[in-house]
Amino acid sequence: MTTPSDQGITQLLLAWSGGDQAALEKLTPLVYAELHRVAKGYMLGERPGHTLQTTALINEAYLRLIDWKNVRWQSRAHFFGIAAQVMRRILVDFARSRNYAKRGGGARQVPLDDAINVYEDPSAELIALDDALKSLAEVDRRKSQVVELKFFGGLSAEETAEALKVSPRTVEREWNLARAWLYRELRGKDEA
Amino acid sequence: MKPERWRQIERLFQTALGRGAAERAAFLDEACAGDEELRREAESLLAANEQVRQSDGFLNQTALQVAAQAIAGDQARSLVGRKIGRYQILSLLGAGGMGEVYLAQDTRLGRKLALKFLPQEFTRDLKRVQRFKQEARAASALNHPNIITIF
Repeated sequence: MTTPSDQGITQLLLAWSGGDQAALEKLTPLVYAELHRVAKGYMLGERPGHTLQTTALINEAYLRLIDWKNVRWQSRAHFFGIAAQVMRRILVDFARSRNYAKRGGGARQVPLDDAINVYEDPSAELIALDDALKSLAEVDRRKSQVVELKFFGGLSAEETAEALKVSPRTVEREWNLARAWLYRELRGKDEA
Repeated sequence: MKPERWRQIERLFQTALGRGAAERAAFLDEACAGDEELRREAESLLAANEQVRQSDGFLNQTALQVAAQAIAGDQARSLVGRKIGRYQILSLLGAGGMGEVYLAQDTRLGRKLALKFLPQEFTRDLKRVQRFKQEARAASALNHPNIITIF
């Protein structure tokens, strides 16, 4: 099932990895469109019996965005890495712009009384994770790549293994420790 | 943290995970050999691993899911489709840190208008409510084709 837009996304991802910054601006609305499609699924999913449909929607969204079937097998591993990086950039920027708007432009200091009433946006977790992941990369680059590929790229353990040229078992072990480390890091900040 | 230290912690973590809970303490006793800091670090990561494994938190989802849920949350709080007094809310025109503007139908006079609301999270904040009223009063004191009419 190949449509012109599938080809377009693949080309844009490759263009971005080749240094074309304008490609990111063209990719952003495509990712947003998928986000809204999945969000709609969540809205319907509040009714019982729709959970499976939501999972299918997410898988479809990733398939449309990271369409590795159109990529020659030699460059698949490389392509996974690019796609995950782009997803990270776009989704963290999405979270930043939302949380910036929520704080009324971010330039003002909010008194404590106001802060209590401010609704905590779930996407704020993505900003905190992005920061923690940068710290993790300094100690252990491969673990940060595992998280980028799996969490941001939505790739399976097998695809992540292929991208990093390691075994799926290694990915699983690396993911366990990375996830535990990140969880501790992020929870620590909440308590502080 | 030094890379060698991190590798040491990782070895402990992975080996301990492979052992049953009963054997784990004895294994850590032996492997850490009095290095209390190393033991604390390994134990804290093992505990975090247990907690995150059982949680339904965002680390067990994907970034796309987290972002989509944020959007779904907005829509759940939206006023679109509701009727407030004589105004039927049709669609969201725009939203910012200071308010949300909706397109609405005045069901009595049969005309369309824009309705501005203070974000829900600010409605209990007296200062913001005051500022909101002040903005409305200031704008309604003006009369010009390029300035909206307030009613």
